[in-house]
Amino acid sequence: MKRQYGFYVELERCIKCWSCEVACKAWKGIDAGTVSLRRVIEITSGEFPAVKRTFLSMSCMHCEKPACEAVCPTGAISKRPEDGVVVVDQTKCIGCRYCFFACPFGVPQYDKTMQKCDMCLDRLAEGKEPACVATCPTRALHFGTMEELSKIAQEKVAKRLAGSTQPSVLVSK
Amino acid sequence: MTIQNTWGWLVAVYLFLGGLGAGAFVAVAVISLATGERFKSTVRFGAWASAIAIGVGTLCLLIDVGKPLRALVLFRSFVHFGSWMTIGAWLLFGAILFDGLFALFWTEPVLQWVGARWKFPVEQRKAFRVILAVLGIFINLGVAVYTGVLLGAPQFRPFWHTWWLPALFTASALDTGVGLVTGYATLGERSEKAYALRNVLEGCIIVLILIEASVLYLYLSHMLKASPDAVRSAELLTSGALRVPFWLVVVGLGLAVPLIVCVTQLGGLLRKRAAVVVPLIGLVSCLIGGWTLRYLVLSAGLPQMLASPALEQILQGVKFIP
Repeated sequence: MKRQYGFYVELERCIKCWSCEVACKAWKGIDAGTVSLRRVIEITSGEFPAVKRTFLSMSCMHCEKPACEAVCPTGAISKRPEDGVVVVDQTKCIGCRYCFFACPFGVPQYDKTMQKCDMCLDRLAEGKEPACVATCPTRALHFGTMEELSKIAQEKVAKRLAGSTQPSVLVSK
Repeated sequence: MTIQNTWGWLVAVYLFLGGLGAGAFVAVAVISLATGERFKSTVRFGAWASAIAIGVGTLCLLIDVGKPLRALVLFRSFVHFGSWMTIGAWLLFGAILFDGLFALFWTEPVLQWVGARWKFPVEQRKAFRVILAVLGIFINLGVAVYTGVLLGAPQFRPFWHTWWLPALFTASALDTGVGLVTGYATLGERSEKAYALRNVLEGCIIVLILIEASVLYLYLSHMLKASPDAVRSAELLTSGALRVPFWLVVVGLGLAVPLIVCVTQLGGLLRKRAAVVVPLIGLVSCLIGGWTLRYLVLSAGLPQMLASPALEQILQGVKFIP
């Protein structure tokens, strides 16, 4: 089976410190007030007095069947066969936002062209982890091939994020 | 309450003008095939109107994208034929070309000018007109259907992901297009038989409005029984934040007023007293309704809720109405 890189998010370890968001923006040199390739969201569940807050760090899911790639009119979005990373060719993208509507997670963001996580391909080439994973102070974010992540996750009760596009993300809580 | 605004009014203008142009072309192409040169000024008007409407609509799409110049180079940018947008871009290009050519073939000074300079068989214009009309009808119907398919293709917008949407937009395209041609036939056509043409066209509009109203009813009632996300979208129109423009403009101005105007015109009740003003009111009202329909359907296209409202809130392109 070909290699597929993915993320593993341990929800119980995330403290909503936004380090991953900031690290991502700093590494990618993203201007303030524009796009966020990784975002931390808060989900509240239950009713008083049993209210629970859960934090989830989300980026592109690098799905096995990317819906964004299917609708892109210019072929700017592609899934790299060697590592399964879904990338946007900035020289081809026309900024029509069709991929935003196609993605079940609304991941691709518009800033003249479409922007999304590329798993820090430049860092991977140097043998480093993506900036968000390297920065996470509580080790809530993991990076690796889906086989490696599944092994780590087996010790926890982790599940692969559901969806018809088959996101390459594991989540444990 | 949230509405979709990643694609805004410019895209709605395109969806409207694309449909209007396609509908007008189909109307005048059929008139030209059925009556030859009898209503040539109406045919010429409709042909130019359709080419210009689809051209301006396409321009609106270009202005809306982040890299318009890159998008303009069709053969380099629109190469992924698995995407509906690529098919649509080429359809629009074909429609502008065909509608423009058809218009030129109905514009006598241009034909004479071309015939005088190049050895172009101007005398065979009738054959060219028939070929362009027949092929053009297919391409323009394609454009009308495509305006709905563009929105319908993404799977995770349940309010758009249905074949009812292309059906609705096509009905509206024909309704507004025939309306525009009828407007010209009323105000500008000097042929002796203009009266008969108007009667036929007004009869057509009545049928088209009834079809459009039925499709709109079936679409919304289908959505109100579908997934919770589709229900949220449909309720935005029927009873939510967009209910006032929906009932007043789309249903009132877009369907009810033109229907009443056509029925009274056809009945001859107002023909003698207000032959110009009343049809004009019907036309303007129908066009405003047509654009508003596209804008509201765009605005109500909410994403499928995945995990929780919080997850939906981070999806860009959703603004919050206080």
